[in-house]
Amino acid sequence: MAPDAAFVRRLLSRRKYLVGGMIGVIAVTVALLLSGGGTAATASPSSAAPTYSALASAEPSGLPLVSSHSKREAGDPVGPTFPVQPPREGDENWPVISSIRRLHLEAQGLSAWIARSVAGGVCVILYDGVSVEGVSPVDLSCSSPEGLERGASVEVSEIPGEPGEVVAVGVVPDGVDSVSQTMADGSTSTTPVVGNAWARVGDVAAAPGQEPTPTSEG
Amino acid sequence: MRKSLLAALVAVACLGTVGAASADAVEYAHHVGIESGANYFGPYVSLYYSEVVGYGQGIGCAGIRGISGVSCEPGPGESGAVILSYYVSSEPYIHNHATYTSYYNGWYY
Repeated sequence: MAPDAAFVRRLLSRRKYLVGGMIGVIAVTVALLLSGGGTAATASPSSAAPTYSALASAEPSGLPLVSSHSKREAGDPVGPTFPVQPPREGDENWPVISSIRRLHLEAQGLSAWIARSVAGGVCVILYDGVSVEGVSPVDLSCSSPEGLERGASVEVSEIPGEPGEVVAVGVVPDGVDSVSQTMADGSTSTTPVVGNAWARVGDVAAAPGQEPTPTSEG
Repeated sequence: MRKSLLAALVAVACLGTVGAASADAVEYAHHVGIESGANYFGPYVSLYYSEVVGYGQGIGCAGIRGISGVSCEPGPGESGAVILSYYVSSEPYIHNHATYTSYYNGWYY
């Protein structure tokens, strides 16, 4: 008895899907083998993520947190504060507030803090010690998550009452001994790192586009 | 009864609107070209926050006139920001630290 025509069409159609699926599986397997992702022998070992011991400090940050701002009134305290919420809504280059920790800098008159960023990078916060009419500025910069290995830094110039002074502060991962940076006058500045932090005070800014380069002796 | 229900709904809607609009910085500069070493000033406003993010390879710095120094982007396309402890009446501004004309976005709050 000859098979029904509709049955044959259904069978051929199923076979078409089956063959298509098998080709797909084979293609994925070949691609995995070629990329080395499917064999333990060729898989590259994953490098450990950079760590920052300063983030594990149990010391109080000493940086007052504020949930709102106001105009300063006579008698209001002087000194840096930090907003709990980012002024730019959804800004992920903002510190995770609970992770803010104080850094200990060798440079006099500066205060700085380290924090993880919401996006997964690392942040540095700097207070240069200069308040104008009782208002204290802090400077903030956060690395991208990919920039964790390089760290984060801020450079401040044109500070009121401090003509010509340039202050730079940064954080780098554990194991980094110093950072070097090409300056605007063509020289190279090398700054030691202590407790994940470095600070430089001088009268020359970094050359535009020249970021601090972490170096390790070991 | 229906009027009071309507009034309650309107009140809730208004509260929701106020809450949603309560926290976002103002973008005063969008892809603004600034010559090397020059400043671009925003409006005279009440603010405590100034931020810059650049395009391309330029390095920009954010400041608040007369109150703070300028805080520079650590690298191209990254963010530099100044945050004050109180509101002040002043102008946010961007300083182009690059040796050529570069383009920046700036925000204040």
